[in-house]
Amino acid sequence: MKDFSGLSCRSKKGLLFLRDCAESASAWCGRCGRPICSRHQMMVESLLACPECAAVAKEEGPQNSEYTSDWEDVYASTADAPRSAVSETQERNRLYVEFGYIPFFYGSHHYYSDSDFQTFDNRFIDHDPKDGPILAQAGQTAKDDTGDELES
Amino acid sequence: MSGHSEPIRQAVKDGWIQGQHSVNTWFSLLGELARYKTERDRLRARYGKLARISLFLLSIMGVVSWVLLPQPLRLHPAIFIAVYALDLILAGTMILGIVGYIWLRGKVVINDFSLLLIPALKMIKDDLKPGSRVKLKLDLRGPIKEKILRERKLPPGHYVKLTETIYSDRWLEMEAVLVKGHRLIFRITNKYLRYKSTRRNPRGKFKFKTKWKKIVMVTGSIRPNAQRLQVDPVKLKDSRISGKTKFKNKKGGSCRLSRKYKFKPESIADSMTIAPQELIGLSFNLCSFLSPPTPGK
Repeated sequence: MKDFSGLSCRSKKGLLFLRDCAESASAWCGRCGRPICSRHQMMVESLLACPECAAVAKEEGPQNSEYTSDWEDVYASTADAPRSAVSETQERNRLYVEFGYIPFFYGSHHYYSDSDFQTFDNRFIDHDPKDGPILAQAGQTAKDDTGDELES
Repeated sequence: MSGHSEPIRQAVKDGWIQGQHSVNTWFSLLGELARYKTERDRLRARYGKLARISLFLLSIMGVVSWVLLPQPLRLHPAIFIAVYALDLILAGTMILGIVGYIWLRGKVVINDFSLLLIPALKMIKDDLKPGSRVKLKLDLRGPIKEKILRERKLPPGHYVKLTETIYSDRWLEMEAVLVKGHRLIFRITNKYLRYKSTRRNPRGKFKFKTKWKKIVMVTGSIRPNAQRLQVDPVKLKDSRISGKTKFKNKKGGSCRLSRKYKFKPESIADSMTIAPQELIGLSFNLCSFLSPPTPGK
């Protein structure tokens, strides 16, 4: 049994200003490795995934022969409608592309993904030291709340 | 109005609603108001249908009555009475339909809030500061007499008479506190231009026509928390704002964008307004002018 004590969900929320969900985490995303809470757990190709990765998988879905199209149905009945979290993420990404907007990020960690706009770029990060550990600078390794280095 | 909460009854009665509530309270209030609007529209459509059907049946019965009128003595009196009673009932139903239709038209609640405000609020819901209250002032009355800005007679041209009436309807004022204390302010003014024309057709009859134009003027401002973000002059210089958008860098570290959108609705009841994405796009533009303060300044 993995220990998630002290770890918070790092799925993104917000539109103008992105930030972490910050609910207690209960799993890891099987694609990007970020801790996620029960509300943000999706099933993509037999893996638990965060809404960001699920949205990317959904975009890639029709081209991928191994893509299971029923992952939405699997989680449609869970609390707080995780399906809408994927739709929200997709809509958010679409709006960013349409308007060419780079959001501000009020989070404490970096994870690389196609939809994670602030990765390796600190210019747009407005970080408050009270909010948590400092963000990883470009070229450094990001650390989690416990100070352990995160898997790349 | 039965089944609706007191604030909604009051809002419909006064024609406006304002207050400072949490976003979820606003969702519930505005959702109820949108349901009221839908019910009202449905009821009005029913009255209209009733009037049209009654008019159709009455015209048929009119022909029947006209045929029967010269020969009242040849028919059984009961048939004669029944035909004219039916005429009276149909005429009554038609009047009821017309009166109901016109009466409900006078109680128009504009639909822009459900098409624009509710979806836009849902989109920025997660950007709001937790526990903060959204300040809203909504005017639901649409273009009414009190909102006439100017009325003038235009050169008639090929018309007999041409009158232009301009209504200025600031229907939305919103102020929301975003995360980290930034403030987002929106003001939306609908400007209605009504052209009433009178012309004479070749047969000498006077014909009247009304045309509407609607201009939606959106003004959005952002007042960033100066300790975290500020308006960046370099970004302002590099910004690619389209010609339709006007920019103003205000004193006190805030900036404002305004844009006009034009529509040509057939009537004021037409639900033509901007898409909520436009409001979000304007917010994106505003936020793109901001950057963290330079250390040491």
